Amino acid sequence: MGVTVLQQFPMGENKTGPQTIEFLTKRVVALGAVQCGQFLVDCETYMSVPALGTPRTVHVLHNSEQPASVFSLLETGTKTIPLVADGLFDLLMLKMTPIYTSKKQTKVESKGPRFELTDFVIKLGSVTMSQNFKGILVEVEYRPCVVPANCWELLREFLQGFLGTCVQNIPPQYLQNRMNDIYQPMDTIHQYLDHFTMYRKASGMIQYQ
Amino acid sequence: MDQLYRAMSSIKILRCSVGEVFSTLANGLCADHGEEGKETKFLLEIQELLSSATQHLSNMAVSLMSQNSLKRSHTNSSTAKRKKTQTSSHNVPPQTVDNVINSIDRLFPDLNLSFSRPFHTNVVLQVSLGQVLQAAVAFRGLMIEWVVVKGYGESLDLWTESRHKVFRKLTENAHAAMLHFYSPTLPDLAVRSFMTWIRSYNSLFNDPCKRCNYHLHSGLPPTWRDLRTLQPYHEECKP
Repeated sequence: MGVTVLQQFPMGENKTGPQTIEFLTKRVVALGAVQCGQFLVDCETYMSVPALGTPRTVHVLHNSEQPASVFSLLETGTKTIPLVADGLFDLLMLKMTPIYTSKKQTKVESKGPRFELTDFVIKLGSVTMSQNFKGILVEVEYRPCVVPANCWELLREFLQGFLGTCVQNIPPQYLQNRMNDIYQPMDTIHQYLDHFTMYRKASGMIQYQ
Repeated sequence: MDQLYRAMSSIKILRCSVGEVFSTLANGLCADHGEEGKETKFLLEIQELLSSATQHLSNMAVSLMSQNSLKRSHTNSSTAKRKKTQTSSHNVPPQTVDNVINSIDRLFPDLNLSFSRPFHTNVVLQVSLGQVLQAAVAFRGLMIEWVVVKGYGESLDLWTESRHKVFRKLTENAHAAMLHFYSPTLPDLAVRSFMTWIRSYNSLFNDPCKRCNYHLHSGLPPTWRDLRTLQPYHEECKP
């Protein structure tokens, strides 16, 4: 798989989520992109029961681009352990309910149309948390290149070309530490989790206001 | 060239209509052409027409082929010289080929070369360039005969295309370069020049175009490298 950058797109004033998606769709289609189906990335978070001692969190994510895999990230407090497993992992988590309980209300997903433009794949995702609209995440993958350091400038030019100034000149924090590594599907999952966590925190702030 | 295109399109039309001819023949000619005896006559007529068309086309092909400056195989028309073995780039001993490849391998540490002789005669060279691309290069003696460029991590063989458009474009350009660098008198120099050229793709995704200073043009990075200066250009920007 190629290097992928996940980018938050700010919501314009007086614009709904679907309107923004439609606006971006028009832009990518004008560039010559062709819609190739839909995509979905979801994330469910499980917390360990207090009896287990130090609290641990397991994030379980699915990505429609890798439909046979289940991605999970275990946060132990000191480190994060990634794991890629097959579909049975979901059933295993169901068996783990005495130890890990799901926080259903924090289930986040990003879904929307998927486009292809030469060697690029563009995904315009609306992020929802338990049915509430949260924002727009744009994913761009450049498939021929596997090392972020080689194609960041190219990706930046592409992203700024249709998203405008909301794209920073420096690579996303997550990629900065892995610029010379070979890009893996897990790296995309990591970026999604980082953004989802931010959306969850943002909702917390709104509740306290 | 125009003539060739016309010939090609008429061949295409001819091929399409072959089916019609067969269906006509299958239905039986008697219905259309009356008596039984005329069937053979009809067939003869067709054959005559076809052979005259073939002759016409082959004459045209010969005249076009003789003009083609990119022709790389030796045809020896004079019978007097036939007995003398010609020194050419495609009948060199295997040891020489090995030496040339090994010297290129030493010359460019960033190019990873490995080669095999699938049919015990000619070399198929696998080139991998950093984490950017890999290429399969088929040789005939010391002459580069075929090149396929693919992405890092793709399965490499001589016949299947890359799944990425950028590498399909690169394959096309590599064919152009292979013909450009071809030199019957200095075959090892031709191979070395080609390898130097392909090595400049190390920065395929990093370098912006020398003319427009952008990375992308119609969704592709600068896929062309100037044959002399090795500077990156987009297909549309090349000088």
